[in-house]
Amino acid sequence: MKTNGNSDSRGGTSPLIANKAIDDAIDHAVRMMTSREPAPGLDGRVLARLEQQTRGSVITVPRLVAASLAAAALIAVVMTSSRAPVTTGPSITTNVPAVPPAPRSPESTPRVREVASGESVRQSTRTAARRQRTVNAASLEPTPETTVTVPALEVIEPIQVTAVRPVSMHMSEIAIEPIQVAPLRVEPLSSTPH
Amino acid sequence: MDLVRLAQAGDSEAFGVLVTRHQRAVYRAALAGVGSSTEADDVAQEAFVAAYRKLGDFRGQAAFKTWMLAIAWRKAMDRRKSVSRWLRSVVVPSESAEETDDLVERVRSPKRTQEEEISGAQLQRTIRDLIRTLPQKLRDPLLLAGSGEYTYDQIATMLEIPLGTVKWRVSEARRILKQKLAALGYQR
Repeated sequence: MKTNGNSDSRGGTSPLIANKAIDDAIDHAVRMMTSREPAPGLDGRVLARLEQQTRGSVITVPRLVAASLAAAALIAVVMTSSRAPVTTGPSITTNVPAVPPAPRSPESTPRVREVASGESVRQSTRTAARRQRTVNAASLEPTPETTVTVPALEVIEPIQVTAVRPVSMHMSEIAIEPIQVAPLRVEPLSSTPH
Repeated sequence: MDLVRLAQAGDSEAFGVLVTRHQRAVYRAALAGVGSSTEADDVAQEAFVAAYRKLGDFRGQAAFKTWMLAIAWRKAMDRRKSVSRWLRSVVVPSESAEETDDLVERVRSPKRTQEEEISGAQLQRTIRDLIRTLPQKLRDPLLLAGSGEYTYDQIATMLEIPLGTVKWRVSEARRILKQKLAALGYQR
């Protein structure tokens, strides 16, 4: 390698090198970066890994079978429990009388106050409705004596709608009268001095 | 080819012979791809395991080595892109310092003067740093070609690019390196 030993702008020595020497230096650097030997026993590690994975797959098959069986059993339990009546526990009905609606404000009351009282009425009605709901305790044990029977819905009669008759319009019925304009009269301005 | 057929038939010993025969080429391809010897070892292992599983797909249209190298390179690229690798590079310090010392040892020669030794080692270090700054599409073919382990055809197969493109990229990589070295005041 031909060197000249000139100083560069960075303060260090950066020798001038011939083109061929630079090519050689690049080749050498690349070779140093790539031409390494694998750590001893790479083939052994590969075979061990293969064996381990093969063994692993053998162990995995029974595990997969067991997992799928467990999943199937779980699904079966869920399906069975979903078919059974859910509301079989003792039912507790709380019948709290609804709060009477707030008296309407007189007409003279400001609008803001009227809105507020209307809201309170709605809230009290909602609370009363909530209190009247039936609360069922969840239980898997069937208790037929406490089961609430819901009556079937009544059949609603079909609604009859009479057809709409379109009324035709005759041109002869329309009469347009001419606009009558009253004649304008312009009177001369009075020229009396103040 | 007989070994490949035996391995395809499930002969693990035959596959073991194939691994022994091609481990260096596969390892070096992995090293060129990932840059770390530890990771290259792991990638090489993964590549051989993947090759064993895909042996049935090998039709013998290309040489087994070329086919194997293509798998190794793909594995190296997967590793290069993986998030876990990036995280590891952040947490674990790189082996560059160790490599540099090693390089200085290797460059040192009893016939050289002290000045030549220093400048030679310095130049090598500079070139290595410059190679690392090259774009991947230029760096990969340069490293693979420079290893002396693969033909340009094999590199083209590994990188999945035409042969002419491989040659152009290697040449372009060298041109850029020389240009940068000249800018640093190295080239006459």
